Formats: sequence, structure tokens, C-alpha cells
Amino acid sequence: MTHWAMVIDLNKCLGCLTCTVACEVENYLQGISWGRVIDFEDGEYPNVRRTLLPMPCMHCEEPACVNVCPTEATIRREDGIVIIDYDKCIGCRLCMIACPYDSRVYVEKVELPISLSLLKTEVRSKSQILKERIVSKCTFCVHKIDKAKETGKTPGKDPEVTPTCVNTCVGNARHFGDLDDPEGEVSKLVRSMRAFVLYEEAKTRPSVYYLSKQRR
Amino acid sequence: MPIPIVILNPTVGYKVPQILYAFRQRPSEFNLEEIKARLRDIRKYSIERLDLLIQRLKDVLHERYPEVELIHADDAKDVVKVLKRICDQHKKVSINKSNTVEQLRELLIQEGFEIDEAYYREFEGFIPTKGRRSYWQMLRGVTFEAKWRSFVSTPFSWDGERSTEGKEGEVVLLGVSAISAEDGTVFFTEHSRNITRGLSEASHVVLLVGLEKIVRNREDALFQARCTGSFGFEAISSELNLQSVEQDLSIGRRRLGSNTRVYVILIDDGRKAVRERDDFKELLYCIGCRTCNAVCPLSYTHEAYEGPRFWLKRFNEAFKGARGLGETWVCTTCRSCEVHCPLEIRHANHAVNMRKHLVKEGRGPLPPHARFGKSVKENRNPYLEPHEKRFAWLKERLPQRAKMIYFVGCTACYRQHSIAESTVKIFKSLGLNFSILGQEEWCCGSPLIRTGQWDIALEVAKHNVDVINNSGVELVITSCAGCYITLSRDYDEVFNLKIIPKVLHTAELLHPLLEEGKLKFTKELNMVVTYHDPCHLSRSRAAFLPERERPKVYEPPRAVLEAIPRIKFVEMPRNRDEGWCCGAGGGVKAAFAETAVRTALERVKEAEEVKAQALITACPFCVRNLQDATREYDRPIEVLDLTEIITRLL
Repeated sequence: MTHWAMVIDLNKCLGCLTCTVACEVENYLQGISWGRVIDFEDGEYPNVRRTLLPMPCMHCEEPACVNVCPTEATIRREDGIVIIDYDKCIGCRLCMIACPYDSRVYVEKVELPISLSLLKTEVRSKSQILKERIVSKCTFCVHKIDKAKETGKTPGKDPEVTPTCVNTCVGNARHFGDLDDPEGEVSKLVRSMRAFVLYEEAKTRPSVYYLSKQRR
Repeated sequence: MPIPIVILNPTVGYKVPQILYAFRQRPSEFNLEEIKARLRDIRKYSIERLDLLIQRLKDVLHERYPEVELIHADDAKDVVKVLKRICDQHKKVSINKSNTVEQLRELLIQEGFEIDEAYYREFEGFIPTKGRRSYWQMLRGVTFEAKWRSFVSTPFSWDGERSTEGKEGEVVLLGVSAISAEDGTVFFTEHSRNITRGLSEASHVVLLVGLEKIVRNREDALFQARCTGSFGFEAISSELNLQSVEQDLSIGRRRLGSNTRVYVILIDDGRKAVRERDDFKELLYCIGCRTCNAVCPLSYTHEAYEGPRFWLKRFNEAFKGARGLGETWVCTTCRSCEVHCPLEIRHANHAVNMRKHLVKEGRGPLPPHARFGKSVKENRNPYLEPHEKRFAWLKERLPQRAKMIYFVGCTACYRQHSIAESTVKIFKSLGLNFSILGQEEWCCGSPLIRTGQWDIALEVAKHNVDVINNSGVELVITSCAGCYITLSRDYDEVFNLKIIPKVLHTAELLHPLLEEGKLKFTKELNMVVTYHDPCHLSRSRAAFLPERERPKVYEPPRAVLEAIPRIKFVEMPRNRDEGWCCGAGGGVKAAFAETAVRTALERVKEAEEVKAQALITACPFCVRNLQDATREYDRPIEVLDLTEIITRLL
């Protein structure tokens, strides 16, 4: 079994938004973005702290969005990735309300239709091509991960099969890997004292972990 | 300038503050009880000062918006008459998904109107059935807080030209969520796309206002409309407050021609008659959120039943001679709707009271109900069996007199013998000194109370109370949930007859004995089991007399099951207060057997989903219906009574 997970080191995030832009390019997003970075200040002058919080889809183990979907368009795959079948989605947006992390985006309009020829080089199924009036979200670049099996490469190590935001991160803040492999880098980081998940009380058990910020 | 209109619609992008709160480990400021209390106050004010509010609304509309035509309508026929006048020759109306409008639909079709149901086109390609996933599962997925926070208002401004796509002479009929009596602001909830379309394209806009939708002022109307969306699941809001609404109204995005005719129809349809009656007054508290319909087992499994939302319609049917489908008899009185209702409206009582009235007038009960009513009168049981054979299952000899009696109940005596036998076996093995009433035990009358046959019920109640009180016992034990609630509460609350000894359910008796160590399981049971809450052992808040606390027998049966060695107890998603009714109660099993079994099948499926091998319950009637479902649909799961599983382990 595999369980793909991401660890984001808040100490190393610069807030350069490279991940956001790279994601938009990789997934042909038009006017929307899947990988927001929330930028907020905490505390009162002079003790102010700025925190940058990248917010991809958490790919929860017990996702709130899956249960509310009336057409079963959202499913959780066996490897832990939560994906939307854009053919089944009717754009009712219930999942957007249910998701405690606000990681879903409604696609109002697709300005330039994404043609299959553009995606010829990729193993992206037809149901994964963005359409109008549906809900979309980060897929952990599932089309790249699916390539891993045939090419024999390891996601997290080889850039060809690793999510784009991880590859492009300037400060190496993002780590990607299999959580079920106890010796993997991600598992080690998750076991560290600094690791935490966002909004634990929602009981969704996210697969995206953060490493807390330390004062130097 | 015409009447101000606001459409409340859910949106997204509101969760960032919530996430940040979580990140900073701060609790969120949200109180559901406060919201409910305020909503209750608003409704109370509206009902108490209804005439005043109607007068005020009339004055306001006349003064500020003289071009708006205000029409009174006594019932649906009046509305259709008005619509005919408005429509002139082409009979085509476009409607929204409002409760009041939905009730008109049938009549409109009869009168030859063509109806445009634009709201079904809101999600293109989506067939408007109950969906592939059960409604209740979806409902549980979204927290109330998320729904509450997700509402924003979309303003509607009337200045400017009508959109060119508009058809001349189009009539749109819209049911409103709330209207403010102070300044005439109209609030809609959800379906903004087709309401806006209707408003901006039609040349005649008819706003249908049920009398209960008139609220004191704009702030209260906004609150009520927001509750309608948030409590119901229609809802799919950043900060929504009065200022933002007023701001929205002053800006306005959509436009509508100044030549659009606006009509406001105030529809009575029995609402004033309801207000005069103490037992049905609560119906006016309803805000139309349809939470009740989402949790009602029968509105899910019965094709024609429209759910608890439409008790007002059935009130007209029972008291005002309106034509109906006889839906009054479909409710199982499981009180699931009452637990979920934000205003705690006791719909099961309305069902019982209406049935009582229908029986009194000779328009009820239904033939199967009358059959078991007659049987109780003649044979003292509802199963058309001879009274002498009541204790034919009993092989042992029991003492004549004891401090404790076991009230067996008809279902255990005539249909589910093994429950009665097991209970006696358990009591004997525990060394309890108990007796039975023998031929003096009559049906408790529970099915009669719930099907409105109160005269026969009173007869058996008097007999049972007399016999029990005169026998000098200290404790009455019953293995049936229906008998339990009837003996312990309903006799007192309905007929004002009190049983002096304490009445306990078997589970309540066994639980302390287990803790004291008197009840010991000698065998192991390697099994996954789950527990189904019988309605009569749960949902205490709702009662004939709300101020009295009802017992909630939730923990004792679970504690007993969990104490069995090696057993694995799992909980179904819908448990305790939210439990799904087996569908047999309230005379439904007798009158609509197939529906009852289908309802039970839902429960069986749920038990299978949590991978249980046995479904345990504590009511013979639930066992009977659930077993029928497993048998009819060939399900492998075993349905057992609590006593039956305990006997296996002694």
C-alpha cells in the first residue's frame, strides 16, 4: 500500500508563489489557482510575526468532500489521493462548503478550451480535463504520479513523477513521499516534534503535514 | 421605485479566517443554541401579532410602493383565480422551488396552466431524483457552522431596462422566504440563478407570501431567511449582516424594467384557522427549511408522502374539507423530525391529533387500523388471535404473586415468542421473583393511541392501570419499547391515568444487575454487532407534554452488549437521537406493509455498511419488521432482540 503525503516546512517557505504559478502552468488553470499561499501577520507591534501558509488540497484520509457529493464525482483513491471526476461533477458546490480547508475552486469559465492534443504527451484521462461550471482542486499532480509505475521512478525523488510544486520550491520547503514507508523522508519528518496538521478538530485526517515555524 | 428584493445565496472563500483561527488555536465564536433561541423569538412575535403585521405591511406597500398590487387569497383556488386574471389568455407560469408554490402546482396543472420548472435546469445534466448518495449522508457531511457562514446576499435592483431576452407577457410565480412588515423588503433563499432570471425577464412578477412569512423588520426577516437556508440543505456566507444587505440594495447589479408589474399575494390557506387552535398552533412556527423532510424515513421510502413539512396542507384536509391524499396516516410518529427541527415543532403530535379528529368524524381510521382496533376490543390484542392463547408460549410455572411483574405485550406473545421466552429464561436464571398478569394483561393500546382510536385505547388503558395498581407490585418490567412508553408516559399524558409502580424496560433492569455482577455471561460470542434504537426508547425531547422529561434509554442496552466477552460492538452512523426508524410504528406496518419493509431495509443496509453480523434492537415490533426486511430482500444479517442474544450466552 502507498499513501502519498506532503510535508511543508513553514520555516523555509519564502512566499515567492513559485508553487502557485507552476501549478497553474502544469494544470492549465485559467483564472483560478489551486495552490494558494495565505500570508498573515500575528501579534502586535513590535512583536509581529509573519507567517506564510501554503494551502494545497489536504487529500484527507476521511475527506468531508467525498461524503457530500451527490453524484459521487469525488472519490478517494487507494493510494490516498482524492480526485474529482469532472465528467460526473455537476457544479453544485456542496463540497466547497463541506471542505474545512477551502481548497476547492469553482471553474466558472474556461477561456481557452484545453485540447487533447495539448495533453498528448501526458497520461491524463479525459475525465481530468477541466471544463466549465465544475469544481476543481489540487490533484497532487496525479497524472505525473501515475506515470511512476511504467517508468519505474519514485515520486518524491525523481522530478518527472513528483508534484510540480515540490519540484519548483525555491527554498526546498516541500517534501513528497509515501507515508506507508516508515524509512522514507516524509515519514521521518512526520514523526518529528515539529509536525502538525491543520485544523485537527475537523477530524478529516489530512495527508498534508506542516513543520511548525521556529523562532531563531 | 419598486419593492426591494434580496436573494440569499451561498458562496465560498469565507473559510480563511476560520483556518487562521485554527492555526492560532483559537476557538471559533459560534453558538447554535443562540441562533435557535433568536429564531424562536422572531417566530413567536410574528404569530402573536399577525394581524398587526399584515396591516402594517399593507400600509407600507400602499404608501411606498403604490404600483404594487396587494391581493388577499383565502386558499389555493383564489390564487389560481388571480393568476388567471394576470395571465390573461396564455396560461404559462414559471415557478420557483418554494413550499407554498409547490402545493399550488397540482392545481395549476389541473386548470390547464403550463409550468416552467426552471430550477431543475440549475444544475444541467443532473436528474432531480434523490441522488445516488443518500440525502442524509450528504446532510451529515456539511456542518451547520459551514452552512451558516456560507450565506451572502445578492441584491436585486429594479432600475433600468428589462433584459432584451425577456418575453412579453411572461408570468413568474415566486414564493418568498420572508418579508419585512416594516419596509416591505422581500427575501429569497437559494436558487438565485433562476429567481434572478425570472425577476429580470418576466413582465409580471407574482410574489406569493404565506402569512407566516411576514416578519417584524428587515433585520428579523434577513435572519429568518438565512435560517431557512442554513438549517435546510437547500443551502449551499462571509459576514452577512444588515449593513451589507442595505449596502447591496443601494448598489444593485441586475436590472429590471420599470414597466414590470409586481403583485403580492397574501395567502391564508388555513393559517388563521391553525392559529386559533392550541394543538396545531406550532405549525405556524415553521420557516420552511425542510430539515424535517431530509430526516423523515417515510418521505424517503414512501413514493407519495411529502414529508413532515406539509402538515398545514393535511390540516386543511382534516379540518377544512380540502381534497388530499390521506397522507395523515403515513407518519410512523418516530419523532425524528422533531429532534432535527430548529424550532422543535412536534409533528408527531399533529399526526396523532389529526387522526383522532378524523376518527371522531368517521373519516378514519384506515381499514387495517380499524381491523386491529376491533380486534383489541374483542380479543384484547391487535393480531386477531384468541385472548385465551395469549400465554400459550409459556411452559414454566410462575408464582402467582410477586413484587415484580413482567408485562409481555402482544407482539412478543403472539408473533415473536422467542423474545418472551428468552426474557423469562433470563429472569429465572437471575433468580428474580416475578409473575405475569396472565389473562388480565390486555394490549397496552399503543397502536390505538397512535392511530387515533382513543376511545378503545382508553378502555384498555383503564383496565391495565386498574389491574397493575391493584396487584400491589412494585415494579413492572416490559421487553417492548411500545408498551414501555405507553405504560410509563402516554397513559399519564394522554388519559391522565397514572401507573403507581415503576415501569422499566428489560435493558434498564439488566444494566444495574450487570454492574453488580449478578448477570454473568458464561459463554463468549465472537461477533460484530450493532444496535438499533427503537423510536419509543429514544428522542425524549418530543412528547405530548413537552415540559416533562422523557426517558432516553440509550446507554443501558449498549452497556449490556459491550459487556459480552469477545463481542465487537460497532455504532451505526445514525444512532441515538438521530436514529433511523424501522418504519413499523404508527400503524404504518398494518396499512403500508411494503413501505414499512423498505424503510427497514434502509436500516439493514446501514448495519451492513458498518460490517455488523447481527443487528440488535430492544423492541419486538422493530425485530419483526427488520426480520421481514432481511427475509424479503434476502440479506444475510441476523436481527435479534437484546434478550435473545443474552439467552444464547447464559
